[in-house]
Amino acid sequence: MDNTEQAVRANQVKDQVGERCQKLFQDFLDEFQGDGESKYLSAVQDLIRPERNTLSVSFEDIETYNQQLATTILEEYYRVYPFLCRAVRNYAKDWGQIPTGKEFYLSLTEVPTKLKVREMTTVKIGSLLRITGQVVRTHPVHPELVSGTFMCLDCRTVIKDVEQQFKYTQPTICRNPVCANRSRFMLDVNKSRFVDFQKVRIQETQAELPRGSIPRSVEVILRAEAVETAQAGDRCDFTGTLIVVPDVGSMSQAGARAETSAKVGQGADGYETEGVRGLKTLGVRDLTYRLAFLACTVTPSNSKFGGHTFREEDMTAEALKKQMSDDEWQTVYDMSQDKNLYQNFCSSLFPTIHGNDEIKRGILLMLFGGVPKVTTERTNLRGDINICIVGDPSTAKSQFLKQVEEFSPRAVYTSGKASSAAGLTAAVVRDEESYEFVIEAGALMLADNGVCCIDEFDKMDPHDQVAIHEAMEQQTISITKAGVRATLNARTSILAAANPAGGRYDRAKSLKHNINMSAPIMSRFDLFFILVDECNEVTDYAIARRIVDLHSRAEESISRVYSVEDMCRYIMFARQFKPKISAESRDYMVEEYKRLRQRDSSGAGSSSWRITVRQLESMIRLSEAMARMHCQDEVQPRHVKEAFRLLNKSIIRVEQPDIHLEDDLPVVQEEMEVDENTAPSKPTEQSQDADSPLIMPDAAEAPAPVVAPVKPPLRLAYEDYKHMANLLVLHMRKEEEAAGEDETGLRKSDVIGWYLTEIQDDIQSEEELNEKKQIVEKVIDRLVHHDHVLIQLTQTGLKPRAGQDSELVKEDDPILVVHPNYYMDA
Amino acid sequence: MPGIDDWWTRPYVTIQKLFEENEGKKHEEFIKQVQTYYTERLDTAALSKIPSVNTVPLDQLKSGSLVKYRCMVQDVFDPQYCVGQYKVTNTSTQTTRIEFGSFRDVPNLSPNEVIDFDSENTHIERLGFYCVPIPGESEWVKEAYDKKDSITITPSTSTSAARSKRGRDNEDSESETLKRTTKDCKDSSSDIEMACAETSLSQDGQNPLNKADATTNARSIPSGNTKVYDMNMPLADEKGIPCIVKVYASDAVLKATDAVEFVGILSVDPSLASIYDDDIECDDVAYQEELQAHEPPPSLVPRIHALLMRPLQHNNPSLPPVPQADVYKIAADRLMEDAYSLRLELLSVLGHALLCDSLAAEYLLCHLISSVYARADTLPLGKLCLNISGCPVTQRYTQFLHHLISQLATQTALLEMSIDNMNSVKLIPKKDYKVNRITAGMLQLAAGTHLVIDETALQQGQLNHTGVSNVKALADVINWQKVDYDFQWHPIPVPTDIHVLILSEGESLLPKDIHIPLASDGQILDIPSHFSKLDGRLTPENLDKLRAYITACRLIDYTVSEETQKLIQDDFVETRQTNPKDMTIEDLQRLLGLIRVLSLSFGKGTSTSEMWLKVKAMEEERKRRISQLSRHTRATL
Repeated sequence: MDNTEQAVRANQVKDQVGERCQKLFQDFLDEFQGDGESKYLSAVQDLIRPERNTLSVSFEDIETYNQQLATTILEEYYRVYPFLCRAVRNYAKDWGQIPTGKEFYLSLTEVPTKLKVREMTTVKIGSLLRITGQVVRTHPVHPELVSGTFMCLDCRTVIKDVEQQFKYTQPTICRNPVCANRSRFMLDVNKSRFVDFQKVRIQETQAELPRGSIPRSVEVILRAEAVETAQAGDRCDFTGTLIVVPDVGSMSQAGARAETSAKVGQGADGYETEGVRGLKTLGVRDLTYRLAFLACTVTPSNSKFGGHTFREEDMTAEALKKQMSDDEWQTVYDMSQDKNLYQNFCSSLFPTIHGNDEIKRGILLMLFGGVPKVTTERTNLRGDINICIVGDPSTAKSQFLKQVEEFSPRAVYTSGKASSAAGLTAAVVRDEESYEFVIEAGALMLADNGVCCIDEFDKMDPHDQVAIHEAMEQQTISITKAGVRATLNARTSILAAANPAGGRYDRAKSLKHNINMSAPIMSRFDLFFILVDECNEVTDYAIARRIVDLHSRAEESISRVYSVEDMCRYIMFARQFKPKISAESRDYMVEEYKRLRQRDSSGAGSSSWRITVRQLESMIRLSEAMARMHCQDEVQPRHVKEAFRLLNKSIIRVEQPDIHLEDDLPVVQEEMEVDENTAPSKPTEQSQDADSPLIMPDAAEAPAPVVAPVKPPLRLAYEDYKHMANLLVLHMRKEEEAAGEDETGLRKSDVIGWYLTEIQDDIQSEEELNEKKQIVEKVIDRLVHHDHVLIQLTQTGLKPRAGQDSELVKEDDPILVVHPNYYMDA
Repeated sequence: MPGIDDWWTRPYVTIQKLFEENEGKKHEEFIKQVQTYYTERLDTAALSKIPSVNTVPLDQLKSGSLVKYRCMVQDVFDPQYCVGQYKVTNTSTQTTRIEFGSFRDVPNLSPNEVIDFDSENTHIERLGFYCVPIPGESEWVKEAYDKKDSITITPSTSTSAARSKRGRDNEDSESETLKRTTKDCKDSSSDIEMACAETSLSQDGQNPLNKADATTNARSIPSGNTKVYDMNMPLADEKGIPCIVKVYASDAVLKATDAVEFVGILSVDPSLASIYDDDIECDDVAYQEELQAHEPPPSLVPRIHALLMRPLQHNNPSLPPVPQADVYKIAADRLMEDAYSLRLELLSVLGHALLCDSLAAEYLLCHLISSVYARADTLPLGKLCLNISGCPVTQRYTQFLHHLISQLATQTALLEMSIDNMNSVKLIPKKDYKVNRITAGMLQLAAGTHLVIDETALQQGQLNHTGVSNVKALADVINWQKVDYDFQWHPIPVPTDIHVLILSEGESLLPKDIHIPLASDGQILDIPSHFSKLDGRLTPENLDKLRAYITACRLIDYTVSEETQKLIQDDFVETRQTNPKDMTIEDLQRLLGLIRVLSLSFGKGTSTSEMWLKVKAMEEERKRRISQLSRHTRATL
């Protein structure tokens, strides 16, 4: 009766679908061609080695081979998995000698269906899935009994191949027809088969986590070659299926029990314990189930310490595209076609911050980043862009940093005041329990492949600032301390905010004197932005409106063109591009760089620091970031142009208000409003003017100087003004020195004349000449009356003494002298 | 057989009936049915009949009966899968029946019955929440809820019995509070009131010490083999029973620190504790540890299977619970008729407590009403962290002040910012991966909690690592209204709404929105007696009104009219024209925050130009005081 019963059972077990899959899969292994030869043959032959047992197969290959098979595997993964493993085994058997009893496993890669941990529900049980999670806990590896050989303690009959399903399963009855033993068996450890087994707990990654929620976690079961591939702290992709296990307690027993034969030796009462246990826990745990994820493949992502990165180096844009749903891809595509992408991105990134468009652009480019390169000497050239914002208190600096931290999932926010060098880089600490030294990640390391926002950078100990030198340029952190030596990656962009040295930005001083930072550190920042809390009616109005709006209708007032998710996805996608610099752009870059250098050496501009190769590198990085933003494979001159403009702004520009040369002429309100709205939307046009160190009224204000019957409000960008003033002063000093004692000074008209000849190359029309003349006159006036740099002698002759007739001559063309105490800051 | 009251005395019978009616339908629909059934029956009156786990001791409650529970979500467990329905076979009679599996931990079996697991079982998902009584809930809130319930109920779980028999270890303090309750209610003669204040203050005085002790005790003992179970209360001196609440509705969105009221079926079946039995055979110690952390003995942490849940928008028993309901609107409107006089009354009380400083009282009033009403991306709007400097260091002034606030506000907590305390106390909740749950930290507080930080306790000293991160955590709460839960690999920010009041000697080292030095004439020397004068005025009726006033003000909808907006903008620009330093962006933010709460304090939903002037005058006065103070200090130096 028993025999027949077993026969019946064997018949029942026969799974049509499974059998068919096994056959099809074996055919696939046999037939699938990659590059003209059987793709999986060598891999299978490799399995003969004793330590190997898992064959890795790309799911895409299966899909191309047989769509139906792929669908079946996808939908009924758990059901057909044993058959697939058997197919591997059979196929391996065909090609080589394999020891009998060796189990083979299949590991599927490149599975398309990707789920969030939160999305896994009971509906998904049994189908093939891929999830991403951060490993938070690993359990030791155990051997797990997969197939037991038992011996009946009554009649010594050996019962082979008793399959174990998550718990220790004895034969239901002895095979021997005359022996009615149902409970007394002994496991023969030597003849049973085991597989490595490990439990791992994973947790939702930050990127998948809904705001303000507690991350969910799920237990993952790893077997065979997948064990020990995931370490705590890693972010990994797991491919497998969701299974529901009744009473996981007994599941862990499967491995643990088999471990100690002593316990198994008590086989006699083993059943009993089980029974009692069952009774006791009945009703408690039997009404609930535990969920676990049975993974066949683990692919650790490149980054440690979790989080969703913008850059996955091993990914291509194509692969990334495949991961996206159609809708997602459509948004990305639409965004890439958006003509106003640059501007829209900026406003969507910082919807609550008014103005400061340059900073927004800079930060945006930082998020895209340049292309990291390795030279032939194997030195790394970083692609990350570092930015420093210097500004008065209460100018939304922290807001910028906080926003970036919020937006970019792998960003770390830290305050210079509260972090020591160890906090920012890495520290070697002694483990309290084991007394071993371990490396503790600092903020920079934590932000590897992300952004490290450092607030109050100036408050940081100079000693500590030095400590991040290496991290900023070489993008590594070396530690040699207490016998531990390691070089760790810290590929991070740094976004720093600092307060000016004197609490407020002193415009009379240069940037160097305003911040408490060593030159080496300064030169490592690609972009410097200066925020001055200035009083300007227009911006004040705009700011006031922004803030009042925010307070009265918080939700509606934040308008984003793109949602945060879309932007993240887009950035991630765009970062896959590795744009090359075209020949045309190269020439352009060289040209611009030369110009910068020249201006620097002439010392005319109030440049913040010397232009060095580093700035050229910055220019390259920024151009690449621009190209990336537009998803282009080639850096074009227009990208360079914008990069150059930003760099120019950041190096020279101390956010000064434009100088109104006509104080008597009140500036028309509307016009300025227009300026607010239009100027940022056409950065490229503007850049054309900005990169020539010429004195021009801001392009946006006077788009058509030719038709200027109504005098355009004469305004000068601050740096232009400064530049002009310095030029004049320099000239006058020189003249004064040459003339020695004889001459008292230069006539105003001479100075103007000299200046106009200086710039004559740039003047095309008479109209322009007049305009220039007017400007230079105004500038001199301002220098005399406002800045008191020049002294105007309108009356010559001796001072009238008492009683004497005055011989004062009123001069129409006054003599100009440079104020003797004037010191030029260049 | 089923009685009229069955639905709340024997909920399982009712639900079984519903289950049978809905046979064959989807599980979600069944859950919905149960929800609608109970929503229909549970009106305010019926609700107060249901015993509350918060007040009625556990041994008075029957497993399987309907209870309610007012709590804060401390931890969110992973979803659990359970049997939606199961077949029961009676071995002696061979009859079978189908039972529902939701809303219970233990199957309903008679001695001869077994479950047939091979039958068509459905799997359902349920969510587990670890809930604790709302941390820092003021005594008066508890009492008022209790009183409200005890007026209406009497049956099976009589409160009189509950009072005489206290099963739990906090007998002493409980009875003490009881005594105080009766006192509070019966007479209001000032000397007794004073005594009351004294007792509670002395309790408070010990708190920091106890707290530190308790925390170290609780944390140092490794969980697992030792049978001490960490109750995971954010505030160490908190009493009450935590519960694990199982929620079946799939659309339930609950996050950590949400304050909720549940109505559900209590489950304290002893068999739930079977995992603690010594003879249980489980070799996986790690798993066992985790299991024990998630399945604590039901005698300590009962399970509640939620039938209904309602997020608490406020926790003031003297107002109807749902602000959107008409009942509430009527009550609030009636209250707001007296807004002006109530405001004056509260001002004078606060002024008295702030040593007769009326300006500081205005600010404290604003602070009490403030709440985070929106977030602009990262920027929380509506927060108003107040720093009152120049507080007397002696005579437990800060504790007196905290006591007063706790009499007015629904939830308060006091943090003594001494070096020792900062170095030892756990402010940030931390994920313990060993047992897979979140260990509570002191900053895990429900929205609307007032946190009083006593910086007068600070001395010179060295902050260790914990201290530094604690200070940073406090600064984060003040600046961004968020707490970064420590998840070891990365922090997880959880938004909060904690109103921080810093009492300090000089200007606080923590960030703050508003700093105001106390202008005291130095005439008040005996602080305890000064405060005792106040007790005479704070009659229960008076207090009740003030409490309701504060809560109601906070819940008023607020808008800014176009004109006022325009006015503010113009004013901003104008002031900056004359001197940019007079009005920075931060100043504007602050003014906008203040004008909102000030308008609310008058019971108005919009702000007018007078308000704007008043706010500006307040700020000017405050700034003058600060500059005066700094001049003064310079002079003395």
